[in-house]
Amino acid sequence: MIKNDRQTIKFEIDDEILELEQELEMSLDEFDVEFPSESEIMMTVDALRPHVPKIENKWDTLVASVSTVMKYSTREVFYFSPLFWGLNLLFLLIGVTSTLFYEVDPYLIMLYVAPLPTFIGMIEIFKSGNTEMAELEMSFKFSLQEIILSRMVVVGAFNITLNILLTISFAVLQPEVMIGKLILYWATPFTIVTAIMLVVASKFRGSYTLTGGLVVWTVVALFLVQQDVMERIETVSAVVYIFVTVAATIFILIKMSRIYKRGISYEFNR
Amino acid sequence: MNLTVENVSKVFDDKKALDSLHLEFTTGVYGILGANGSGKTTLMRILASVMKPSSGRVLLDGQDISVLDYRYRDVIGYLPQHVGLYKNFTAEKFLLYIATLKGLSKEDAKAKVMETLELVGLTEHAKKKVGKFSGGMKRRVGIAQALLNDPKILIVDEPTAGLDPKERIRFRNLISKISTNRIVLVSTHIVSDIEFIAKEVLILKSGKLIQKQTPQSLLKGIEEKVWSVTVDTESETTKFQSIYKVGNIARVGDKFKLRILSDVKPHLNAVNEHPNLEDLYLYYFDEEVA
Repeated sequence: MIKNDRQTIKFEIDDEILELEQELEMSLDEFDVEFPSESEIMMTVDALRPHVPKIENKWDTLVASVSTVMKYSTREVFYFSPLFWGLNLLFLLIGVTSTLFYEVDPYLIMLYVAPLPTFIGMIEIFKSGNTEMAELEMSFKFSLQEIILSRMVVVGAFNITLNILLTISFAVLQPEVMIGKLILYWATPFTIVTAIMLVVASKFRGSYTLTGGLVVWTVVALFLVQQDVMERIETVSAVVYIFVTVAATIFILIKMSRIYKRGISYEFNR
Repeated sequence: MNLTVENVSKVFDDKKALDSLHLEFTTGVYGILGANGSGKTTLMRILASVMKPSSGRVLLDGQDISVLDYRYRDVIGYLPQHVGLYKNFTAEKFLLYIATLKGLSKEDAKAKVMETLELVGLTEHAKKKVGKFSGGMKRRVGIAQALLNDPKILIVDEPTAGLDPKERIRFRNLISKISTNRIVLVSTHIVSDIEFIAKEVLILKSGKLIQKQTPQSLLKGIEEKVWSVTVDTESETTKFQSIYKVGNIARVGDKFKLRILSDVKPHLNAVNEHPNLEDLYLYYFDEEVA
Protein backbone atom coordinates (compact mmCIF):
# COMPACT_ATOMS: atom_id res chain seq x y z
CA MET A 1 0.00 0.00 0.00
CA ILE A 2 2.71 2.43 1.05
CA LYS A 3 4.74 1.40 -1.98
CA ASN A 4 1.84 2.26 -4.32
CA ASP A 5 1.41 5.66 -2.66
CA ARG A 6 5.11 6.42 -3.19
CA GLN A 7 4.85 5.46 -6.86
CA THR A 8 1.85 7.78 -7.33
CA ILE A 9 3.77 10.71 -5.76
CA LYS A 10 6.78 9.94 -8.00
CA PHE A 11 4.62 10.01 -11.14
CA GLU A 12 3.05 13.31 -10.07
CA ILE A 13 6.51 14.87 -9.61
CA ASP A 14 7.65 13.58 -13.03
CA ASP A 15 4.58 15.14 -14.64
CA GLU A 16 5.28 18.47 -12.96
CA ILE A 17 8.90 18.45 -14.17
CA LEU A 18 7.76 17.60 -17.70
CA GLU A 19 5.28 20.45 -17.61
CA LEU A 20 7.93 22.88 -16.39
CA GLU A 21 10.35 21.76 -19.07
CA GLN A 22 7.73 22.33 -21.76
CA GLU A 23 6.94 25.79 -20.40
CA LEU A 24 10.61 26.66 -20.35
CA GLU A 25 11.07 25.39 -23.90
CA MET A 26 8.16 27.49 -25.09
CA SER A 27 9.34 30.64 -23.38
CA LEU A 28 12.83 30.16 -24.83
CA ASP A 29 11.36 29.66 -28.31
CA GLU A 30 9.39 32.88 -27.98
CA PHE A 31 12.32 34.85 -26.52
CA ASP A 32 13.90 37.30 -28.91
CA VAL A 33 17.36 38.78 -28.48
CA GLU A 34 17.38 42.23 -29.95
CA PHE A 35 20.18 42.77 -32.39
CA PRO A 36 22.51 45.44 -30.96
CA SER A 37 22.97 48.72 -32.74
CA GLU A 38 26.15 49.45 -34.71
CA SER A 39 27.38 51.85 -32.02
CA GLU A 40 26.85 49.22 -29.31
CA ILE A 41 28.84 46.68 -31.32
CA MET A 42 31.67 49.17 -31.81
CA MET A 43 31.67 50.06 -28.10
CA THR A 44 32.01 46.38 -27.22
CA VAL A 45 34.84 45.93 -29.72
CA ASP A 46 36.65 49.00 -28.35
CA ALA A 47 36.22 47.78 -24.79
CA LEU A 48 37.68 44.38 -25.67
CA ARG A 49 40.51 45.64 -27.86
CA PRO A 50 43.01 46.25 -24.98
CA HIS A 51 42.52 42.64 -23.82
CA VAL A 52 43.30 41.04 -27.17
CA PRO A 53 46.77 39.48 -26.96
CA LYS A 54 49.23 40.97 -29.42
CA ILE A 55 50.36 38.68 -32.21
CA GLU A 56 53.83 37.59 -31.29
CA ASN A 57 56.43 38.21 -33.94
CA LYS A 58 58.62 35.10 -33.68
CA TRP A 59 61.62 36.84 -35.18
CA ASP A 60 61.36 39.76 -32.72
CA THR A 61 60.99 37.31 -29.82
CA LEU A 62 64.06 35.37 -30.95
CA VAL A 63 66.12 38.54 -31.34
CA ALA A 64 64.99 39.78 -27.91
CA SER A 65 65.85 36.41 -26.28
CA VAL A 66 69.28 36.19 -27.91
CA SER A 67 70.02 39.80 -26.99
CA THR A 68 69.01 39.14 -23.34
CA VAL A 69 71.23 36.06 -23.17
CA MET A 70 74.18 37.87 -24.79
CA LYS A 71 73.79 40.90 -22.55
CA TYR A 72 73.53 38.76 -19.46
CA SER A 73 76.51 36.57 -20.42
CA THR A 74 78.78 39.65 -20.34
CA ARG A 75 77.93 40.01 -16.66
CA GLU A 76 78.06 36.27 -15.97
CA VAL A 77 81.75 36.24 -16.99
CA PHE A 78 82.67 37.97 -13.74
CA TYR A 79 81.10 35.24 -11.63
CA PHE A 80 82.87 32.26 -13.20
CA SER A 81 85.11 30.30 -10.89
CA PRO A 82 88.84 31.17 -11.03
CA LEU A 83 89.38 27.42 -11.41
CA PHE A 84 87.76 27.55 -14.86
CA TRP A 85 90.06 30.30 -16.11
CA GLY A 86 93.13 28.85 -14.38
CA LEU A 87 92.77 25.32 -15.74
CA ASN A 88 92.07 26.51 -19.26
CA LEU A 89 95.09 28.80 -19.28
CA LEU A 90 97.12 25.86 -18.01
CA PHE A 91 95.96 23.76 -20.99
CA LEU A 92 96.92 26.59 -23.32
CA LEU A 93 100.40 26.78 -21.81
CA ILE A 94 100.87 23.00 -21.87
CA GLY A 95 99.77 22.95 -25.52
CA VAL A 96 102.18 25.65 -26.60
CA THR A 97 105.16 24.46 -24.56
CA SER A 98 104.79 20.79 -25.54
CA THR A 99 104.85 21.76 -29.21
CA LEU A 100 107.67 24.22 -28.75
CA PHE A 101 109.98 22.21 -26.50
CA TYR A 102 108.96 18.57 -26.96
CA GLU A 103 108.07 18.72 -30.65
CA VAL A 104 104.61 17.22 -30.12
CA ASP A 105 102.42 17.34 -33.24
CA PRO A 106 100.43 20.65 -33.04
CA TYR A 107 97.40 19.02 -34.72
CA LEU A 108 97.36 16.40 -32.00
CA ILE A 109 97.57 19.04 -29.28
CA MET A 110 94.74 20.95 -30.92
CA LEU A 111 92.60 17.84 -31.12
CA TYR A 112 93.17 16.94 -27.47
CA VAL A 113 92.81 20.44 -25.99
CA ALA A 114 89.71 21.38 -28.08
CA PRO A 115 86.98 19.91 -25.82
CA LEU A 116 88.71 20.50 -22.47
CA PRO A 117 87.13 23.94 -21.81
CA THR A 118 83.75 22.32 -22.47
CA PHE A 119 84.38 19.66 -19.82
CA ILE A 120 85.44 22.21 -17.22
CA GLY A 121 82.74 24.60 -18.37
CA MET A 122 80.04 22.00 -17.63
CA ILE A 123 80.68 22.53 -13.90
CA GLU A 124 80.00 26.22 -14.33
CA ILE A 125 77.02 25.71 -16.65
CA PHE A 126 75.22 23.34 -14.31
CA LYS A 127 76.49 24.74 -11.01
CA SER A 128 72.97 25.81 -10.01
CA GLY A 129 71.88 22.19 -9.61
CA ASN A 130 75.09 21.06 -7.93
CA THR A 131 74.92 23.82 -5.31
CA GLU A 132 71.18 23.65 -4.54
CA MET A 133 70.72 27.07 -6.11
CA ALA A 134 68.49 25.99 -8.99
CA GLU A 135 65.22 26.34 -7.09
CA LEU A 136 66.11 29.87 -6.03
CA GLU A 137 67.36 30.82 -9.49
CA MET A 138 64.09 29.66 -11.05
CA SER A 139 62.31 32.42 -9.15
CA PHE A 140 64.43 35.25 -10.60
CA LYS A 141 63.54 37.68 -13.36
CA PHE A 142 66.12 36.05 -15.63
CA SER A 143 64.89 32.50 -15.97
CA LEU A 144 67.13 29.57 -15.11
CA GLN A 145 67.16 28.69 -18.82
CA GLU A 146 68.52 32.12 -19.68
CA ILE A 147 71.12 31.83 -16.92
CA ILE A 148 72.27 28.41 -18.20
CA LEU A 149 72.38 29.56 -21.83
CA SER A 150 74.38 32.63 -20.82
CA ARG A 151 76.93 30.39 -19.14
CA MET A 152 77.07 28.25 -22.29
CA VAL A 153 77.77 31.37 -24.32
CA VAL A 154 80.64 32.30 -21.99
CA VAL A 155 82.14 28.79 -22.19
CA GLY A 156 81.72 28.65 -25.98
CA ALA A 157 83.18 32.13 -26.51
CA PHE A 158 86.12 31.34 -24.25
CA ASN A 159 86.76 28.10 -26.12
CA ILE A 160 86.84 29.96 -29.42
CA THR A 161 89.21 32.55 -27.94
CA LEU A 162 91.46 29.79 -26.64
CA ASN A 163 91.46 28.14 -30.06
CA ILE A 164 92.35 31.42 -31.79
CA LEU A 165 95.22 31.93 -29.33
CA LEU A 166 96.50 28.39 -29.90
CA THR A 167 96.18 28.72 -33.68
CA ILE A 168 98.07 32.04 -33.64
CA SER A 169 100.74 30.57 -31.34
CA PHE A 170 101.25 27.54 -33.60
CA ALA A 171 101.22 29.67 -36.74
CA VAL A 172 103.90 31.95 -35.27
CA LEU A 173 106.03 29.19 -33.73
CA GLN A 174 105.73 26.72 -36.61
CA PRO A 175 105.02 28.55 -39.86
CA GLU A 176 104.69 25.25 -41.76
CA VAL A 177 101.39 24.28 -40.00
CA MET A 178 98.20 24.56 -42.02
CA ILE A 179 95.78 26.89 -40.29
CA GLY A 180 92.71 25.38 -41.99
CA LYS A 181 93.67 21.91 -40.80
CA LEU A 182 94.31 23.24 -37.28
CA ILE A 183 90.82 24.78 -37.22
CA LEU A 184 89.22 21.53 -38.40
CA TYR A 185 91.15 19.53 -35.78
CA TRP A 186 89.74 21.89 -33.17
CA ALA A 187 86.21 22.39 -34.43
CA THR A 188 85.32 18.74 -35.01
CA PRO A 189 86.12 17.32 -31.53
CA PHE A 190 84.86 20.51 -29.89
CA THR A 191 81.41 20.32 -31.47
CA ILE A 192 81.07 16.52 -31.13
CA VAL A 193 82.10 16.49 -27.46
CA THR A 194 79.94 19.54 -26.67
CA ALA A 195 76.92 17.85 -28.26
CA ILE A 196 77.53 14.63 -26.29
CA MET A 197 78.20 16.49 -23.03
CA LEU A 198 75.01 18.54 -23.40
CA VAL A 199 73.00 15.35 -23.58
CA VAL A 200 74.89 13.61 -20.77
CA ALA A 201 75.13 16.63 -18.45
CA SER A 202 71.43 17.49 -18.74
CA LYS A 203 70.68 14.02 -17.34
CA PHE A 204 73.62 13.54 -14.96
CA ARG A 205 74.66 16.82 -13.47
CA GLY A 206 77.05 15.63 -10.76
CA SER A 207 80.75 16.48 -10.78
CA TYR A 208 81.38 12.82 -11.65
CA THR A 209 80.06 13.64 -15.12
CA LEU A 210 83.08 15.88 -15.61
CA THR A 211 85.51 13.29 -14.22
CA GLY A 212 83.94 10.56 -16.35
CA GLY A 213 84.00 12.79 -19.44
CA LEU A 214 87.66 13.70 -18.94
CA VAL A 215 88.65 10.04 -18.47
CA VAL A 216 86.72 8.95 -21.57
CA TRP A 217 88.19 11.78 -23.63
CA THR A 218 91.76 10.98 -22.49
CA VAL A 219 91.25 7.32 -23.47
CA VAL A 220 89.86 8.40 -26.86
CA ALA A 221 92.74 10.84 -27.36
CA LEU A 222 95.31 8.15 -26.47
CA PHE A 223 93.68 5.91 -29.06
CA LEU A 224 93.75 8.69 -31.65
CA VAL A 225 97.46 9.47 -31.20
CA GLN A 226 98.49 5.97 -32.31
CA GLN A 227 100.45 6.22 -35.52
CA ASP A 228 98.15 4.13 -37.72
CA VAL A 229 94.97 5.79 -36.35
CA MET A 230 96.47 9.23 -36.90
CA GLU A 231 97.41 8.31 -40.46
CA ARG A 232 93.86 7.16 -41.13
CA ILE A 233 92.43 10.36 -39.62
CA GLU A 234 94.64 12.42 -41.87
CA THR A 235 93.39 10.60 -44.96
CA VAL A 236 89.77 11.54 -44.19
CA SER A 237 88.52 14.26 -46.51
CA ALA A 238 88.04 17.77 -45.11
CA VAL A 239 84.46 17.64 -46.38
CA VAL A 240 83.69 14.86 -43.91
CA TYR A 241 85.10 16.95 -41.05
CA ILE A 242 83.06 19.94 -42.16
CA PHE A 243 79.92 17.83 -42.49
CA VAL A 244 80.33 16.30 -39.01
CA THR A 245 81.08 19.72 -37.50
CA VAL A 246 78.02 21.32 -39.10
CA ALA A 247 75.78 18.40 -38.02
CA ALA A 248 77.07 18.60 -34.43
CA THR A 249 76.60 22.39 -34.41
CA ILE A 250 73.00 22.03 -35.55
CA PHE A 251 72.41 19.45 -32.83
CA ILE A 252 73.90 21.81 -30.20
CA LEU A 253 71.66 24.66 -31.37
CA ILE A 254 68.56 22.42 -31.24
CA LYS A 255 69.52 21.22 -27.76
CA MET A 256 70.10 24.80 -26.56
CA SER A 257 66.78 25.89 -28.02
CA ARG A 258 65.07 23.02 -26.18
CA ILE A 259 66.68 24.00 -22.89
CA TYR A 260 65.48 27.57 -23.47
CA LYS A 261 61.92 26.58 -24.29
CA ARG A 262 61.33 23.71 -21.89
CA GLY A 263 63.79 24.41 -19.11
CA ILE A 264 65.52 21.76 -17.07
CA SER A 265 63.75 19.24 -14.94
CA TYR A 266 64.82 19.10 -11.31
CA GLU A 267 63.34 17.08 -8.48
CA PHE A 268 61.52 20.12 -7.10
CA ASN A 269 59.78 21.27 -10.29
CA ARG A 270 58.46 18.00 -11.73
CA MET B 1 47.46 44.11 -4.54
CA ASN B 2 45.75 40.76 -4.60
CA LEU B 3 47.25 37.30 -4.96
CA THR B 4 44.69 34.60 -5.63
CA VAL B 5 45.11 30.84 -5.59
CA GLU B 6 42.27 29.53 -7.73
CA ASN B 7 41.33 25.88 -7.37
CA VAL B 8 44.97 24.74 -7.32
CA SER B 9 45.81 21.03 -7.09
CA LYS B 10 49.13 19.27 -7.40
CA VAL B 11 49.50 15.56 -7.94
CA PHE B 12 52.78 13.63 -7.71
CA ASP B 13 52.39 10.16 -9.24
CA ASP B 14 49.51 8.83 -7.18
CA LYS B 15 49.78 11.29 -4.29
CA LYS B 16 47.73 14.48 -4.10
CA ALA B 17 50.00 17.07 -2.48
CA LEU B 18 47.49 19.93 -2.85
CA ASP B 19 43.77 19.44 -3.18
CA SER B 20 41.65 22.20 -4.80
CA LEU B 21 43.00 25.13 -2.82
CA HIS B 22 41.21 28.47 -2.93
CA LEU B 23 43.11 31.27 -1.22
CA GLU B 24 43.27 35.02 -1.35
CA PHE B 25 46.12 37.17 -0.04
CA THR B 26 46.33 40.92 0.40
CA THR B 27 49.03 43.05 2.04
CA GLY B 28 50.24 41.63 5.37
CA VAL B 29 51.91 38.59 6.90
CA TYR B 30 50.31 35.17 6.44
CA GLY B 31 51.49 32.19 8.42
CA ILE B 32 51.07 28.84 6.68
CA LEU B 33 51.05 26.19 9.31
CA GLY B 34 51.19 22.47 8.74
CA ALA B 35 52.99 19.30 9.68
CA ASN B 36 55.64 17.76 7.42
CA GLY B 37 54.00 16.53 4.23
CA SER B 38 50.99 18.80 4.56
CA GLY B 39 51.72 20.52 1.21
CA LYS B 40 53.28 23.75 2.52
CA THR B 41 56.42 23.56 0.40
CA THR B 42 54.46 22.56 -2.72
CA LEU B 43 52.21 25.58 -2.25
CA MET B 44 55.20 27.88 -1.72
CA ARG B 45 56.89 26.54 -4.86
CA ILE B 46 53.77 27.11 -6.92
CA LEU B 47 53.46 30.64 -5.55
CA ALA B 48 57.15 31.26 -6.32
CA SER B 49 56.51 29.99 -9.87
CA VAL B 50 59.20 27.31 -9.67
CA MET B 51 56.56 24.57 -9.92
CA LYS B 52 53.45 24.36 -12.05
CA PRO B 53 50.15 23.24 -10.54
CA SER B 54 48.52 20.08 -11.99
CA SER B 55 45.29 22.08 -12.24
CA GLY B 56 44.06 25.53 -11.26
CA ARG B 57 45.98 28.78 -11.46
CA VAL B 58 47.49 31.61 -9.45
CA LEU B 59 46.48 35.17 -10.24
CA LEU B 60 48.16 38.45 -9.38
CA ASP B 61 45.61 41.25 -9.56
CA GLY B 62 43.50 39.09 -11.85
CA GLN B 63 46.31 38.08 -14.22
CA ASP B 64 47.60 34.53 -14.48
CA ILE B 65 51.19 34.39 -13.19
CA SER B 66 52.18 31.93 -15.92
CA VAL B 67 51.16 34.57 -18.48
CA LEU B 68 52.85 37.35 -16.53
CA ASP B 69 56.00 35.17 -16.55
CA TYR B 70 59.13 37.31 -15.81
CA ARG B 71 56.91 40.29 -14.87
CA TYR B 72 55.62 38.21 -11.97
CA ARG B 73 59.07 36.93 -11.02
CA ASP B 74 60.22 40.56 -11.02
CA VAL B 75 57.91 41.39 -8.10
CA ILE B 76 58.55 38.37 -5.89
CA GLY B 77 61.25 37.49 -3.40
CA TYR B 78 61.65 33.83 -2.55
CA LEU B 79 63.60 31.95 0.07
CA PRO B 80 63.31 28.18 -0.41
CA GLN B 81 63.55 25.73 2.45
CA HIS B 82 66.86 24.37 1.17
CA VAL B 83 69.20 26.76 -0.52
CA GLY B 84 72.88 26.00 -0.95
CA LEU B 85 74.33 29.45 -1.85
CA TYR B 86 77.61 29.75 -3.78
CA LYS B 87 79.97 28.97 -0.93
CA ASN B 88 83.09 30.44 -2.52
CA PHE B 89 81.46 33.84 -2.96
CA THR B 90 81.66 36.50 -0.27
CA ALA B 91 78.28 37.69 1.01
CA GLU B 92 78.67 40.90 -0.99
CA LYS B 93 79.65 39.13 -4.22
CA PHE B 94 76.84 36.62 -3.80
CA LEU B 95 74.25 39.36 -3.38
CA LEU B 96 75.69 41.34 -6.30
CA TYR B 97 75.38 38.22 -8.43
CA ILE B 98 71.77 37.65 -7.38
CA ALA B 99 71.02 41.34 -8.03
CA THR B 100 72.28 40.78 -11.57
CA LEU B 101 70.00 37.78 -11.99
CA LYS B 102 67.11 39.87 -10.70
CA GLY B 103 67.78 42.44 -13.41
CA LEU B 104 69.05 45.30 -11.22
CA SER B 105 71.43 47.78 -12.83
CA LYS B 106 75.02 47.82 -11.54
CA GLU B 107 74.54 51.06 -9.62
CA ASP B 108 71.23 50.02 -8.08
CA ALA B 109 72.67 46.63 -7.21
CA LYS B 110 75.56 48.05 -5.19
CA ALA B 111 73.29 50.34 -3.18
CA LYS B 112 70.68 47.64 -2.63
CA VAL B 113 73.26 45.05 -1.54
CA MET B 114 74.62 47.41 1.12
CA GLU B 115 71.08 48.25 2.25
CA THR B 116 69.98 44.62 2.61
CA LEU B 117 73.23 43.56 4.27
CA GLU B 118 72.64 46.24 6.87
CA LEU B 119 69.01 45.22 7.28
CA VAL B 120 69.97 41.63 8.08
CA GLY B 121 72.91 42.70 10.26
CA LEU B 122 75.68 41.33 8.08
CA THR B 123 77.48 44.52 7.00
CA GLU B 124 80.63 43.63 8.91
CA HIS B 125 80.66 40.16 7.32
CA ALA B 126 80.19 41.44 3.76
CA LYS B 127 83.67 40.41 2.66
CA LYS B 128 83.55 36.95 4.26
CA LYS B 129 82.78 33.82 2.25
CA VAL B 130 79.24 32.53 2.77
CA GLY B 131 80.60 28.98 3.06
CA LYS B 132 82.06 29.99 6.43
CA PHE B 133 78.77 31.38 7.76
CA SER B 134 76.65 29.75 10.48
CA GLY B 135 73.18 28.40 9.61
CA GLY B 136 71.54 31.56 10.94
CA MET B 137 73.83 33.84 8.96
CA LYS B 138 73.15 31.83 5.79
CA ARG B 139 69.40 32.24 6.32
CA ARG B 140 69.98 35.98 6.76
CA VAL B 141 71.88 36.05 3.46
CA GLY B 142 68.90 34.16 2.06
CA ILE B 143 66.41 36.76 3.21
CA ALA B 144 68.73 39.55 2.01
CA GLN B 145 68.73 38.12 -1.52
CA ALA B 146 64.94 37.83 -1.41
CA LEU B 147 64.68 41.54 -0.61
CA LEU B 148 67.11 42.83 -3.24
CA ASN B 149 64.40 43.68 -5.78
CA ASP B 150 62.14 45.22 -3.14
CA PRO B 151 59.51 42.52 -3.76
CA LYS B 152 55.79 43.12 -3.48
CA ILE B 153 55.38 39.48 -2.54
CA LEU B 154 57.82 37.77 -0.18
CA ILE B 155 57.66 33.97 0.06
CA VAL B 156 59.71 32.27 2.77
CA ASP B 157 59.57 28.53 3.26
CA GLU B 158 60.46 27.18 6.72
CA PRO B 159 62.74 30.15 7.43
CA THR B 160 63.76 29.09 10.91
CA ALA B 161 64.34 25.36 10.39
CA GLY B 162 67.61 24.41 12.03
CA LEU B 163 68.16 27.77 13.73
CA ASP B 164 68.85 28.23 17.42
CA PRO B 165 66.24 30.13 19.52
CA LYS B 166 68.18 33.41 19.40
CA GLU B 167 68.43 33.30 15.60
CA ARG B 168 64.74 32.38 15.41
CA ILE B 169 63.73 35.45 17.38
CA ARG B 170 66.03 37.62 15.26
CA PHE B 171 64.50 36.17 12.11
CA ARG B 172 60.94 36.69 13.33
CA ASN B 173 61.67 40.33 14.16
CA LEU B 174 63.25 40.78 10.75
CA ILE B 175 60.17 39.42 8.98
CA SER B 176 57.98 41.70 11.08
CA LYS B 177 60.17 44.70 10.19
CA ILE B 178 60.04 44.11 6.44
CA SER B 179 56.38 43.24 6.18
CA THR B 180 55.01 46.73 5.49
CA ASN B 181 53.28 47.24 2.14
CA ARG B 182 53.82 43.73 0.85
CA ILE B 183 52.33 40.28 0.98
CA VAL B 184 54.54 38.10 3.17
CA LEU B 185 53.91 34.35 3.15
CA VAL B 186 55.73 32.37 5.82
CA SER B 187 55.38 28.62 5.87
CA THR B 188 56.43 26.88 9.03
CA HIS B 189 55.74 24.06 11.41
CA ILE B 190 57.14 26.13 14.27
CA VAL B 191 54.19 27.96 15.77
CA SER B 192 56.16 30.69 17.53
CA ASP B 193 57.54 31.89 14.17
CA ILE B 194 54.20 33.40 13.25
CA GLU B 195 52.27 33.64 16.50
CA PHE B 196 52.65 37.39 16.96
CA ILE B 197 53.32 38.62 13.43
CA ALA B 198 50.72 36.91 11.25
CA LYS B 199 47.64 38.75 10.10
CA GLU B 200 46.07 35.42 9.25
CA VAL B 201 47.03 31.83 9.86
CA LEU B 202 46.33 29.12 7.29
CA ILE B 203 46.30 25.54 8.44
CA LEU B 204 47.10 22.92 5.82
CA LYS B 205 46.55 19.24 6.39
CA SER B 206 47.13 16.56 3.73
CA GLY B 207 47.05 19.18 1.00
CA LYS B 208 43.75 20.67 2.11
CA LEU B 209 43.07 24.02 3.73
CA ILE B 210 41.35 23.36 7.00
CA GLN B 211 41.45 26.86 8.52
CA LYS B 212 42.20 30.43 7.41
CA GLN B 213 41.51 32.99 10.06
CA THR B 214 43.13 35.59 12.27
CA PRO B 215 45.09 34.02 15.15
CA GLN B 216 42.53 35.45 17.57
CA SER B 217 39.58 33.81 15.79
CA LEU B 218 41.42 30.53 15.59
CA LEU B 219 42.17 30.62 19.28
CA LYS B 220 38.57 31.49 20.09
CA GLY B 221 37.59 28.20 18.51
CA ILE B 222 39.51 26.22 21.12
CA GLU B 223 38.88 28.55 24.07
CA GLU B 224 37.07 25.95 26.18
CA LYS B 225 39.39 23.11 25.20
CA VAL B 226 42.67 23.89 26.91
CA TRP B 227 43.11 22.65 30.46
CA SER B 228 45.82 22.34 33.06
CA VAL B 229 45.89 19.48 35.50
CA THR B 230 48.35 18.95 38.31
CA VAL B 231 49.21 15.33 39.13
CA ASP B 232 51.45 13.74 41.75
CA THR B 233 53.10 10.86 39.92
CA GLU B 234 54.66 9.95 36.58
CA SER B 235 52.23 7.07 36.17
CA GLU B 236 49.32 9.50 36.38
CA THR B 237 51.04 11.61 33.72
CA THR B 238 51.37 8.56 31.48
CA LYS B 239 47.71 7.76 32.03
CA PHE B 240 46.64 11.25 30.93
CA GLN B 241 48.95 11.04 27.92
CA SER B 242 47.30 7.81 26.82
CA ILE B 243 43.81 9.35 26.98
CA TYR B 244 44.30 13.03 26.01
CA LYS B 245 46.48 15.22 23.82
CA VAL B 246 49.07 16.50 26.28
CA GLY B 247 50.88 19.56 24.98
CA ASN B 248 53.22 20.36 27.82
CA ILE B 249 54.46 18.70 30.98
CA ALA B 250 56.08 20.98 33.55
CA ARG B 251 57.61 19.87 36.82
CA VAL B 252 56.35 22.04 39.68
CA GLY B 253 58.13 21.03 42.88
CA ASP B 254 57.49 17.31 43.26
CA LYS B 255 54.34 17.45 41.12
CA PHE B 256 53.65 17.56 37.36
CA LYS B 257 51.56 20.21 35.66
CA LEU B 258 50.02 18.98 32.40
CA ARG B 259 48.59 21.13 29.61
CA ILE B 260 45.78 19.13 28.04
CA LEU B 261 43.65 19.55 24.92
CA SER B 262 40.21 18.13 25.47
CA ASP B 263 36.62 18.89 24.49
CA VAL B 264 35.53 17.86 27.98
CA LYS B 265 36.96 18.69 31.40
CA PRO B 266 39.59 15.95 31.79
CA HIS B 267 39.66 15.92 35.60
CA LEU B 268 37.64 17.28 38.49
CA ASN B 269 40.50 19.65 39.42
CA ALA B 270 41.28 20.67 35.84
CA VAL B 271 41.56 24.43 35.28
CA ASN B 272 40.56 26.09 31.99
CA GLU B 273 43.53 27.90 30.39
CA HIS B 274 43.92 30.61 27.73
CA PRO B 275 44.82 28.86 24.45
CA ASN B 276 47.87 29.72 22.35
CA LEU B 277 48.82 28.74 18.80
CA GLU B 278 50.84 25.78 20.04
CA ASP B 279 47.64 24.40 21.54
CA LEU B 280 45.93 25.01 18.21
CA TYR B 281 48.67 23.15 16.34
CA LEU B 282 48.35 20.23 18.70
CA TYR B 283 44.59 20.32 18.38
CA TYR B 284 44.76 19.96 14.59
CA PHE B 285 47.83 17.83 14.11
CA ASP B 286 47.76 15.40 17.02
CA GLU B 287 51.51 15.22 17.36
CA GLU B 288 54.34 16.61 19.49
CA VAL B 289 54.44 20.41 19.53
CA ALA B 290 57.58 21.75 17.85
